[in-house]
Amino acid sequence: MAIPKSEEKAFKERFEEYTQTLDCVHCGLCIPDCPTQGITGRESDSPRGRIYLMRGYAEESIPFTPESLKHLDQCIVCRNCETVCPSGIQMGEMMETFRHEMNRTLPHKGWKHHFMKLMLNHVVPSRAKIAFLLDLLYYYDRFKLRKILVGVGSKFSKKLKKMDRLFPPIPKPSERRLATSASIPQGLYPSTQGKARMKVGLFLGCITSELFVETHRSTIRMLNRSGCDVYVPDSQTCCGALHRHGGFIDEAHRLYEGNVSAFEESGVDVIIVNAAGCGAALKEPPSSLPDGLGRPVRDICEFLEEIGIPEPDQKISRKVAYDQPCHLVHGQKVPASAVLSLLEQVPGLEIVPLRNSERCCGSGGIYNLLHPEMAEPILDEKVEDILDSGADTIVTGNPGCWMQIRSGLLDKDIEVLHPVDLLDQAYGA
Amino acid sequence: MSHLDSVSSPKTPDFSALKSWIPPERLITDPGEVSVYECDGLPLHKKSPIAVVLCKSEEEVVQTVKWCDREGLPFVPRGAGTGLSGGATPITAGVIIDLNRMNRIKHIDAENRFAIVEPGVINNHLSDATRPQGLEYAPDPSSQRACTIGGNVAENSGGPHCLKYGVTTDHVLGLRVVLPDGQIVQMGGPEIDQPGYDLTGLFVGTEGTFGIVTEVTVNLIPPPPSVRTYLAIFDSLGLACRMVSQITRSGILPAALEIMDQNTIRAVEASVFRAGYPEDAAAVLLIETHGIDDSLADEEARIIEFAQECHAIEFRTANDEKERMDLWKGRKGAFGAMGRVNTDLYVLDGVVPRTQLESVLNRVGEIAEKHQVTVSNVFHAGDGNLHPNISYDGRDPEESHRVLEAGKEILQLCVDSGGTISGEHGIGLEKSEFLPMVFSDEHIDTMIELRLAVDPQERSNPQKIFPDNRVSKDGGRQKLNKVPQ
Ligand SMILES: Cc1cc2nc3c(=O)[nH]c(=O)nc-3n(C[C@H](O)[C@H](O)[C@H](O)COP(=O)(O)OP(=O)(O)OC[C@H]3O[C@@H](n4cnc5c(N)ncnc54)[C@H](O)[C@@H]3O)c2cc1C
Ligand code: SF4
Ligand code: SF4
Repeated sequence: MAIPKSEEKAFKERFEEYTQTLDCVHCGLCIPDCPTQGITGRESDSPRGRIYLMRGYAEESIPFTPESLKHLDQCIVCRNCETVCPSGIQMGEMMETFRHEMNRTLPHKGWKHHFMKLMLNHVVPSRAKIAFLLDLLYYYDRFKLRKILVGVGSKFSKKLKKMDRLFPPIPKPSERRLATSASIPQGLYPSTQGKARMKVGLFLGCITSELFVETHRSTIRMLNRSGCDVYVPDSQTCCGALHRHGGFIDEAHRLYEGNVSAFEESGVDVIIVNAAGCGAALKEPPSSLPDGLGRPVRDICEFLEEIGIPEPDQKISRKVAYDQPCHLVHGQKVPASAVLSLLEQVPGLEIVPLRNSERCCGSGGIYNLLHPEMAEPILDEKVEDILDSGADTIVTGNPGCWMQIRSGLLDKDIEVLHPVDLLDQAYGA
Repeated sequence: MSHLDSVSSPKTPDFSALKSWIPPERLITDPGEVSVYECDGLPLHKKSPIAVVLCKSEEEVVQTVKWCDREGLPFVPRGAGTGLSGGATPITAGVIIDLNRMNRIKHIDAENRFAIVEPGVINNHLSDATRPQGLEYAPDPSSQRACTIGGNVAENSGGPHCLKYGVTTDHVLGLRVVLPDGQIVQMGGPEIDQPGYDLTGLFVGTEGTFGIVTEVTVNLIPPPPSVRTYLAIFDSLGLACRMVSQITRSGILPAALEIMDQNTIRAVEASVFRAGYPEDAAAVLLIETHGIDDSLADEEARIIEFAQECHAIEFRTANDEKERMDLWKGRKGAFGAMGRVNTDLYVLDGVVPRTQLESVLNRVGEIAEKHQVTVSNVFHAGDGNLHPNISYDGRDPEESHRVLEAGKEILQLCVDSGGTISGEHGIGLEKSEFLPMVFSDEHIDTMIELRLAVDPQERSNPQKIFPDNRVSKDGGRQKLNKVPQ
């Protein structure tokens, strides 16, 4: 089955950016590090195969078939291939451009994609809508509706139960709202070390602004302890990473502009992000905004390691392994050592190595919801590596990875934490 | 031309028998998707297969081979597709039998120092698995993070450290093979010396033309007790070559001797692999020695002496593993760095006598100039194995043609200097036409007869190794008679 000639032509005319695919010399060195190739063994599920398809479509040497397109859709955009490619390919950017052109010429027809588009373009950009959605989910959980629905539903669909495992318990509405610049004195969380050495801005994210509020609190405490004033602008919005992965580049640009104005007058020296996916997106501004957010963007661990933390005073008896979020190690190129050197300062903590810690867990933002048939076996491999490590605690600095890995460990006695949450426990009141 | 044309070639096979046992996720027939299998690491030649079967077991390989036999279809074994001579390119269409899913390490016998593996095991993964037991698999092609043991066996691959440890064939003890008619044979085994013909040795390097390897018994060795790594920088390529001669003449057997020329250095320095080589450096020589500390110290003193005698402008020594990796960084990244010079890269592979390195390289430069192509050299100097790399834009047919012409002249030059047309990448498609440069007609026909004895129907990887039209149903010998005097 082929795609109508007219649509194929429209795509080719638009996919001018394909020249990036020419960076690939077809050596194949990236193949073993691609998680999707690891699952299916198909060349078209490998970086080399995907680039070859994109180039082939653009040069009209490969027929544009739905079956081959499926494998481009199956790319997690984990960017592991960028780390290992000797030729320096930019898979993240290539996929964004490709999917953007696909959305314009051949949009997906399934309900999942319609739902995704609706969520991304109409819910995620608005903090109020997110809060409302989370309220609904909270009461749904609270009144045991979740248990009943999932119990009944999973009789009909195995997928439902697995999807449900992804969702963490939702905090009470009253505990979920972090005070932002609009509602705290001077709009600041002041340094607890006397005069601040720096004023930093905290980026909250969309769903994470409420769902991971505890991590935001740990982040603020760690920054205050390390001598920073923390400013949390109220008007900030989503980072646009999910939009970019899905090829909704225009919406992603709009969101980026929203964040530019939110931080414009803030007077902060650095913007701190504690979600690897958001950090990668904010560090890579759209070409129309070459100055980005106008000041450096740093991952929280990267930053704490740079400025140094006070000596922890609480002993933590845990055996911990670090799983590297793809968008921290492959996207932002923050090495494992940045996080490990912080953890090493905590007394009592035993750090154990995790095999393949730089390999994707299958989360991929919302990839696990769109492609469970790929994400599940990828997660299974991650769980096996974790069990072999002997750790009782896994730390990982990205909400998506946190949810995904946690869902794989629900019936195991292993806790999953953000590194700052663990660090924060190492300080007395 | 659309790829669909080749897909609907003479006869559409009957897939029903195949589909009765292979799950759909391991059979690829979609005309878009099969296109990604149209070439390997050498994208100069392309042809789509009609189908790809991802086999998980020897039994599945047998079934697929028998199905091809019934359907009258040729098949091409494929590992990771990192080959650089078009070996895994299905030039007569046919079926690709992909072995990357047969990736189990079946057995490691640390006491007797051998391992039994499936062909799809990645070279690096094997050493990773045996290292905790104090053993390694020695052959280390630069593609080792991706290439498979099956592909290594088929190509008889080498690598930077093969100067001291030998190539793949020196480390393969036994093989299980599915012959082109579906029969399974076992050759050799863990015992070092086997009675009778050394069929294993015969099979290694046959580039997939003798059937499909489904199990390999490999020799394992303990890693060297100590390693020392040096980098000598020169302002003349000739002096670097002279130092190589001095080292080898002195009786020192380094584990690796690798040279990069000025074009390569510039490409490396302009890339993310920047290794800190001086701008005006004409050549760098990477030297690694393996052994026990006492003898290494003695060798080190002599190597430093040679570097002085050859007027090295700088000499660096690695003091720890990190520094060692830094010295190797430029070498390991060279290939990728050259990939950035232009859209495509043609990696040549030829061998010359070590004593001729300098003059051959000068001639290579002249050939490049004549054909207006950019050649960068990075090579295993210790065994005279050259890798002239030509960067070009494959979208320009005229330029591609010049690249092929230059490549051919360079190989002829290797032969004229007393060397040969392939060091480690095999003949495949790329060099079949050049075989007569190094073999007489009689010699080639003897090889063809051998091939036909194993594969009378030319089912397994047809049109590889031997020049076009020399292999035919009526046998090599008769064909020979028709070759004009
Ligand atoms: C960056 C780079 C560096 C390289 N460096 C080196 C080097 O240092 N030394 C070197 O020798 N080579 C090198 N190569 C070439 C290549 O990696 C080797 O030839 C390697 O052995 C090919 O392995 P593969 O698994 O990719 O095989 P493929 O490319 O898939 O196949 C190669 C050949 O083997 C056959 N084959 C594959 N599996 C089987 C099997 N199970 N049974 C029978 N036949 C089979 C195929 O039909 C084909 O003819 C390099 C390549 C690249 C891209
Ligand atoms: S490693 Fe890079 S250049 Fe090589 S095949 Fe993969 S993407 Fe292409
Ligand atoms: S981004 Fe990840 S999933 Fe996509 S091709 Fe690269 S390694 Fe594979």
